[in-house]
Amino acid sequence: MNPSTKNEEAVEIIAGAARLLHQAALPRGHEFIDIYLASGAALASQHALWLLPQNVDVEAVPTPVATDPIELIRAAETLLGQLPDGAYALVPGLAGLVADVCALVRDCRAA
Amino acid sequence: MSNTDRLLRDADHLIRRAAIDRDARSTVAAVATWPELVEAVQTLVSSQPTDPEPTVKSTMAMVGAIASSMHRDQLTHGWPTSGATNEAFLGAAERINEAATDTSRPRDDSGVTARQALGVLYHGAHLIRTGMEEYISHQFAHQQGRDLHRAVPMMDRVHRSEQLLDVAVNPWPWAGSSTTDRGPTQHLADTLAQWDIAAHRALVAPSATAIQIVATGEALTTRATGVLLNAADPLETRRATTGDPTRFREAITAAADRWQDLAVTAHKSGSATAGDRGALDAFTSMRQSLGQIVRDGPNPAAVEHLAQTIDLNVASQLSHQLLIAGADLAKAAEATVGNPGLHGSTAALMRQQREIQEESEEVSLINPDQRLRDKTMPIPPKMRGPLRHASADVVAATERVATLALVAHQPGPSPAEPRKTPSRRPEQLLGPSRPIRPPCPDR
Repeated sequence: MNPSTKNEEAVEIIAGAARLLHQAALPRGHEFIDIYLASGAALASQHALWLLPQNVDVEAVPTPVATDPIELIRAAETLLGQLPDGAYALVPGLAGLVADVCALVRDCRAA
Repeated sequence: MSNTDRLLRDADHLIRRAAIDRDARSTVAAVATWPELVEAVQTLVSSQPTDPEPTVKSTMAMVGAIASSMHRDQLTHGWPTSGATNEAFLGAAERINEAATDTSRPRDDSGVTARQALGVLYHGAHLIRTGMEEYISHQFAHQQGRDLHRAVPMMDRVHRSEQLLDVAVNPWPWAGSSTTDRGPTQHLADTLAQWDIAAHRALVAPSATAIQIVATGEALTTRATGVLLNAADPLETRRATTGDPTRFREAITAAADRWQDLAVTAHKSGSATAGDRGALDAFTSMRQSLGQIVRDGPNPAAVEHLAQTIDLNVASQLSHQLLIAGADLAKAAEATVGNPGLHGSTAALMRQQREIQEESEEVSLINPDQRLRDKTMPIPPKMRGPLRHASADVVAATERVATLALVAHQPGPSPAEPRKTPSRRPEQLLGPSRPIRPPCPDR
């Protein structure tokens, strides 16, 4: 796989993760854990958007059908697990996003 | 996929899983295995056919030196105990060592392999730092301090390594370039986000201490100002700033209006020591930076100045105010729950509260509602609504934090079972697939 194809694949995965995290960030409940997970997902979604080139149309990514924030956050982590080889070198800042999403998945266990 | 790629991917997945599954025991074991992981990455980087980039080289030299000192200390002091080994870290080190001897690797991969390995190391350092913070916090809360004099210096050194790796793997997007049209929004939001993230991680700790209550209250207050900065919905911010310079300027101008709100909020939250003058100075300085950005386009220096202004002027005022509020909260929490873990922190906070009050000529705290009634500061009518809402947000956030702290300190049942959710593949969650436009080749 050449670097350009890898880059496109990485972009597609990050955009998908951003969409999932954005959906997870929508306010759903008033319990502390709801607010806590939603704000964490909002930050991670924002982080993912920063990593994307400006001309990527994130809103073209379909809105996720799921609504459970825990399911959405776990899906984002699974999606980021499919990043192409060398993705950290191709997209500076990606390692930080992955670390944050892993931390969020861990937080989900407390929910 | 080359063999090296596969091995590095395996190593990365092992560390990610370990980050999700970590507990106190595995974290301490990871401290013991950390030097081995670092050594493996050093071997891989030095086995590259071409010289590593200067950043990679210097980062690995510093991280390597820190890891060696940790290993020496472990041998000298016997902490973590010699038998402690983190299997995930060990497995990752083995795979990276194997990658270093992989002869099928392409001769020149432009440093991709080295950076990927640094990414794995960053995740490892991040896991240890966050895990150790929890471990130490737990030890404090339960007065089990026999490991602390060993654990704290170890955590500090891994934290330093994490920072070094962070700079190497997650550089600012504009580092080394002159301008970027994403700078201002990104850096502003990042300043806010870092506070939030720190607070969120502090809250993950099973027993939040009083000082964490303050940190969290501080971060939540900052988040309230983040809402004023239009950073609440990243998709909306992106829509407003993508591609179109006119819309970008409009968005920045709109943000400038929100600075007015921020100044009022800073004034409201600022301690009496800082007073009106400090809030107005902060506002003027921020407005000047923003004006420069609007006039001349995004400029890293101006953006940096703006971010520093937030940090130094506004945040410090919020800190004082929240420190005082935090001392009261901690005192109340201690009295209600009778948790001895809070005692030391509460005493420290009360001392600082007294010091601030002794330094201050005007001791009384600023009540935003009173301010509005007295009109001691000219507040345009259109700002009064947002100010009231911001005030309510801060109060609500502080209450939530206090509630959490109280709940966290009450003896409860064993950790709850994870919520059962049917697992679905991410592709299924995203619905029917539509193509994403690829990036321009020139970006």
